[in-house]
Amino acid sequence: MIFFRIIPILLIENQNCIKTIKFKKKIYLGDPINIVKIYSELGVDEILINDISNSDIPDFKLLKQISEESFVPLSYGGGVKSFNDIEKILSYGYEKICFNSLVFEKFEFIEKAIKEFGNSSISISVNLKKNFIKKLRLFNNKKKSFYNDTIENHLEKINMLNPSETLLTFVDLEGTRSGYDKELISKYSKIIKTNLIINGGAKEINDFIFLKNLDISGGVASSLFSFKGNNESVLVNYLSNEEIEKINN
Amino acid sequence: MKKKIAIIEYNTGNVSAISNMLSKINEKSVITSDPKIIEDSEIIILPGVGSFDRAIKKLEEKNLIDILKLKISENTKILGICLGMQILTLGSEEGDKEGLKVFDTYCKSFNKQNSKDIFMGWSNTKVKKNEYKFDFLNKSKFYFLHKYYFPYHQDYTIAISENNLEFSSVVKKNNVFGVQFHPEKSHNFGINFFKNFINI
Repeated sequence: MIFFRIIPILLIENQNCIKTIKFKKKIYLGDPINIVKIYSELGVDEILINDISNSDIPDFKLLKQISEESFVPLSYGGGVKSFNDIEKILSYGYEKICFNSLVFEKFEFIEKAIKEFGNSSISISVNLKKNFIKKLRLFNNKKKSFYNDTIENHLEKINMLNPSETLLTFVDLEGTRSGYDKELISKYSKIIKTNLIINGGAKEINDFIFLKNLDISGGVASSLFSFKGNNESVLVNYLSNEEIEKINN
Repeated sequence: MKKKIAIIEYNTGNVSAISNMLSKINEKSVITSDPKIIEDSEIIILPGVGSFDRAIKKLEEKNLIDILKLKISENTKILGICLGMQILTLGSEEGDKEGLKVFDTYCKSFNKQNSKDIFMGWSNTKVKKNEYKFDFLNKSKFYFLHKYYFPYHQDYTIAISENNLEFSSVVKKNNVFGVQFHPEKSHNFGINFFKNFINI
């Protein structure tokens, strides 16, 4: 059997690790190399790294330095555009390369990348956000705009690609620690046929137990593992062994 | 005396993570695709991420097939990791290329109907052979990420894991070992694995 994964996500902007709230307000957390080192020592299940800098290419030097500190699995997304980029980042010891906007813009490239590097090396991330009439839509975080496709169509396309996993982020809950939108998670988890992990709103271990009971592969969180108490003091942390056991039993 | 460890570099990922973990347990390794250095090494680690045919193609391009076959025939201790283990079989449902034919079996694909066809995450391993030196595997969990698997084999399988069916997670034939999981990404369990492997 496979255990439920609890996955910290790190957002990097201009070589700093930051925390966003609903992808907007930004709080400085620290040096990403150092934070990965701490998570690795805490023995987290996996670390997702997402570079949201406005740069055309991935920061290869930083990615290499980060991977040298990690003895846990790593997944990376942000600015990857070519087979060369993928090959380079995998060679640093990252397990998965995560794509989001290219799935909309260059579907064929993703198809080819999956063929070349294997399904297990590629994952796909999807951002969902409510528009001004409170309708949930596919969201482009870089351009701060909505895509025209319907969510259902896009998820079916991802099923066709069959990547290693799909990361579903609920942008309106991101960074809020207000609990999951259980109704929406239940709805979309029925459509997605790949491994599924959920980001946005994680508040307590009961949230993870909820996901596990839906046969979802993992829960992603950053605020929960970045702060102590309220949002004021930064303290990189993770669940205790007892809490992890509680989730997996 | 420390053993000379070569980690084979053939553009299929993962090499630095392995050497980093080895240095954590004070073992020195070289990342190399130089047949001379490989010939001179006492332990060979063959990593692998990606697809079966691509891995074989890269080994061919770097002229590494012959030296690996030579070292296998000389009984050098070898560890294939993930795809690095799968390419030691006869072949795989994933591709058309021939494997290195150490293990007389074929890799198969998980079936999407009854299980997730990509096995990803942490899983435990269960020892199937009564060999005391592998007991630690019963108390370990490791990180897996794969779509194809090495079927259970009476002669080769040391330990299994489960994805609705039992598949080989640790295999061995003479001095050639293979693991389906990524010890280099399995923190303390991985460190413990490498310590045991090097001393076996």
